[in-house]
Amino acid sequence: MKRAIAVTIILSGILGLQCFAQKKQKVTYEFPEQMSPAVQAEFAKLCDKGKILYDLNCAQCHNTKIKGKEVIPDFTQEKLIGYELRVSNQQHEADMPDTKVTAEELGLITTFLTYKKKNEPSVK
Amino acid sequence: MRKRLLISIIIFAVAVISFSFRDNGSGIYTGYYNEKLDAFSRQQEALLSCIRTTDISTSAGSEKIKQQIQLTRNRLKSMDFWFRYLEPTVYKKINGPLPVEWETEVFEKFEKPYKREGAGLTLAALYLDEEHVNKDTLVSLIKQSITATATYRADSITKNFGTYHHFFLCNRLFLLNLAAIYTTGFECPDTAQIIPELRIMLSDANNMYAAFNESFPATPVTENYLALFRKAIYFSNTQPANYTVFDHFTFIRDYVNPLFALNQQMIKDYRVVSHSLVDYSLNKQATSIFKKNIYNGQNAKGIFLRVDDTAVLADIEKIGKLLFYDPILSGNNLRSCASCHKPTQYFTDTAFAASLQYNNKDLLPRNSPSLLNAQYNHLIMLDGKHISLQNQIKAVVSNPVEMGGEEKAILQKIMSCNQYSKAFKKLLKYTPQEPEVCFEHIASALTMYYAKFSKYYSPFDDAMNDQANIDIAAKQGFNLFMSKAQCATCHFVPQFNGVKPPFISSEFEVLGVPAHKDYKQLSADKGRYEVNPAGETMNAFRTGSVRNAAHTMPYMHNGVFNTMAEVIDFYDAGGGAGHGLKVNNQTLPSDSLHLSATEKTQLVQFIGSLNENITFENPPAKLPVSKIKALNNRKVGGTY
Repeated sequence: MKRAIAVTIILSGILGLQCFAQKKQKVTYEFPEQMSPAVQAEFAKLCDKGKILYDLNCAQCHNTKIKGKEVIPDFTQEKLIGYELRVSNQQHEADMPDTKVTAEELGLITTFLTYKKKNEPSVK
Repeated sequence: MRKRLLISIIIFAVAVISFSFRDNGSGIYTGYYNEKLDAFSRQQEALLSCIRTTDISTSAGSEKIKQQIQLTRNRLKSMDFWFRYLEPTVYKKINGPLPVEWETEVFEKFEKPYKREGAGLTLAALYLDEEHVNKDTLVSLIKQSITATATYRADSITKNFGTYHHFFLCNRLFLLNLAAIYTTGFECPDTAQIIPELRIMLSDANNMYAAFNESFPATPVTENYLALFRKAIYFSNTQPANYTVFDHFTFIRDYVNPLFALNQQMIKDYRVVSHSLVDYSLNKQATSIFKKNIYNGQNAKGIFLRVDDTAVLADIEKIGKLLFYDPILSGNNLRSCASCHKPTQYFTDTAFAASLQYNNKDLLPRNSPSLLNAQYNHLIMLDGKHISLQNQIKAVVSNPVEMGGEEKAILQKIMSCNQYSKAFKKLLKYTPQEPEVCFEHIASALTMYYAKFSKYYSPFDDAMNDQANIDIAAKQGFNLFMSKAQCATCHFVPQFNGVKPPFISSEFEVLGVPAHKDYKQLSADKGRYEVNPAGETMNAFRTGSVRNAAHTMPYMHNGVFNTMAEVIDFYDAGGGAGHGLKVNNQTLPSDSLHLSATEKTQLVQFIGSLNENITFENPPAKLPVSKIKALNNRKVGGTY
């Protein structure tokens, strides 16, 4: 009985750590080389905000789990056209009107998705 | 027994196969569209060859072309239902109110202003009346219209016809336009043709509904809608053809608005899905054109837009109210939002043509606009400089002649007050993208506070929504507003501001407002030109709302007029140009409206019926205490 409790504690500990690790998991960005470091730093800040808004509004439908790891898909530039996103499908029409995601926020999300480092070919 | 089963299976299979091979049904409806489109194209060609073969220097020749233009317009009116919705920017090449327009349909606020030239048929008709008519110009206008029309045959347009979805969304826009522009002469240069064109549109829509119901029997236009629509046709046919005598009020209240409600119900019942940017501001939940949720407008909740909990919303509003009256938002801690947007004066300053500058000596260049219904504008400020309410707050706070502050310093001062800092820190969990309290939180609390005063309705709204009684003079005033007085071609139903269906742009107009009442010179304010320098935007200003106007004097961008009567006289004489000022680009016709004294009184009565029954609030008793002692002698509302 005691052993069972110990195992449970250890297991939940591992799980908890994993959750923590996942939370900490940092997304890296790829900025064009011509962009000065100062501008890159500013964009990184915007991207961080965009990431949080992405997690809040988009991740639930768009992220996939590959080998237990949350993967944010790569979006092409054609998919990231401003307001068109709002009506590009039925789900978006219901979930992304101005009253739920503002124009500014949409801008941050697309900025994040534009500069997010592309996934390894194996995790497409 | 087995044989029987087999036979029934075969019969069933054959039935399924034959059913799936049958025309999916959209044929009749699509056929109707193509037939009408062909007829329009043929008429355009006929107009073109008429222009080529007619001597336009004679009055008989000019008359002949005019007739052909009208025939073409009539054909266009049959297509209006689809054209405007399916490709609104192309539509303007065929029919538009002005030869050159900027950003009349702004889908993305971040986009640079864009120019649209053309206006095809409208312009051709207007052009014919000019002294020296050049055939080539006429031909090129019509050719432009023909080229634009070809767009409506493209796959990207016709693919919509495979399903029923676009139909109810087209119909929604059609009904909104019946209330806002189709009876006012918005794009119809010949006022005698307004009601005849309306009748064509209505009777064609009726035929189209029938075609649609044949093709989409599972999602039909309902019988009660059709019955009411037939009554609307009867009404418009039995009303006078003169748009000034036409009863716009009854037409909208008893027909257009109830039809809109029925269409909204069908949109809901049939789970209609939009794939068009045209719909992005429209609200599927609105049950009347005169409900404030008809379109989204600005986001008054700002960064707090994901907060739904009413208790939390009430907390934000409470903090917003304190901030609104708190001079801590200014550089010298003397000036608050309430200084110039006085809550006791309909959130404007009725004492001055323009409010005092930061130095308390000079006047600001423009009149303080009322904050009521500000959220129903697409662009903010009289020159449309800002795309959001929150940006406007940031700009005013840091403007050296307005509140003379600096965002960072103000934020620090605000956070030095325990009540503010506690409240905002508690709200941080709703804004994970901003882990620290920033100016966006401050601005959003402010906009949320004042926006709550825009939720109220006027006696006119009550008459439209609930058949409440309304003064007969106000009703007559509305009918004039929609016709002879030419107000509604810029102050659109239902907000009576410059935002027309589908409510995704703010219009700007050049009126020729004088610097002083003596009409000696034009106001020097460049208006929209400051934001978007172009010939057409010089002295242009965003059209304001007429709601509560009886209480928001003085009027115009520079507050030059003190009474509503003066404003009406200004328009009656044809704006600045009508008063003899030289205005090269006035968008308002410069000829007189010939309004009688009674008519002017009726207009004032109607505008009075747009006073909303607002419950105002008393100022807060005291302001939050700061850790910085020097800040604690600031007064509620500031010393202004």
